[in-house]
Amino acid sequence: MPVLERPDPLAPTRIEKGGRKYDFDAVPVAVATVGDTAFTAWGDGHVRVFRPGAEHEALPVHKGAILSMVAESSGTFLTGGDDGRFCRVGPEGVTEIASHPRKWVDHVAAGAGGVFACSVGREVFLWDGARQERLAAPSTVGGLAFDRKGGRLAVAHYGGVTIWAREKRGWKPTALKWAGSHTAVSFSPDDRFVMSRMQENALHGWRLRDKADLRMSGYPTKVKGWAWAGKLPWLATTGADEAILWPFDGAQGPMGRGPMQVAWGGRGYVTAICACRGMRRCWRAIPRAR
Amino acid sequence: MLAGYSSGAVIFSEIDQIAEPRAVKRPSGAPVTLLAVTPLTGWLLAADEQGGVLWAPLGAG
Repeated sequence: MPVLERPDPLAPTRIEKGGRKYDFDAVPVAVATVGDTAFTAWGDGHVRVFRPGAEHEALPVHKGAILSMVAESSGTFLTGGDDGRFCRVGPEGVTEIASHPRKWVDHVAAGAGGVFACSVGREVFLWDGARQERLAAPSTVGGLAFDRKGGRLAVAHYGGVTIWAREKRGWKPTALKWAGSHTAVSFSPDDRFVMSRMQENALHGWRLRDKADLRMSGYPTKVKGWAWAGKLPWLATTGADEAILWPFDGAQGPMGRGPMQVAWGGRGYVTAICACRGMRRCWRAIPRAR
Repeated sequence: MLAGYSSGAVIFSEIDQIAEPRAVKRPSGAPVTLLAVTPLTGWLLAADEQGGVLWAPLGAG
């Protein structure tokens, strides 16, 4: 008698069987990829490097926890730590860019043309070629992001986001106000919008040409991760029981439109998200979720 | 795109065409906090809040 066979949802997938598993006594903080290599930052102060077919490598970078990490276009990485150090990690090893004893380097950012920045409490330190600027935020900085060309730096904080733009005589601020605590910030890939994650279960954004507000609420949990995905482009977000994708095409972007939901079936809430090019070739190798 | 869940599961889904999501990693009980795929070779890195890491080629199998 024929029997309908259902895949065991708790059995290892073919992907898991083909890979390696590790258990570290630390909390993962950030990841960035270059070529065939994944660089991860950890709460024990190490950057752990994973390459195909090789044992992982652990680099001691900070004496305390790494709080943030970002890749630079040159293939190096910037890290900030609770030891007060702002570091660059590259093929030559670890270089200390700045030190703020007894303070935390909370956030780091890198932009095109070699511009980079870090935040310490309410202060943002910006390196733009030979020039270094010290920018003041109205409250503790929640996140940093450069635009595509590296000519604008978005700084998230309580009460909104400040856009600092490069001008002949230095970097000048423009305030984008919205009540509440803003904990992360990102420019859209075409630089027309800037989006922030909020302490409450919501996103907020602005269309930069007229400062029009975008309010995205209704998430059952806090949005802790996001990624720009696809050609449209979409802003893919965590915080619900499936991935929530907002459309950013056309003049209005997501204003007056609803999101798309994908990647359901994982049980619980989406807590991390990744958008990658060239994954279609992997599609047939991955078994169905249900 | 890939979505990591509070259950520890990782799901793969297309966004430009309608298709059933597919399982990449089974639930483990530890929420997924980091996800990345290497651009050149398509290797997945999934890390959870308890320090667990899966490092695997997406084309495996």
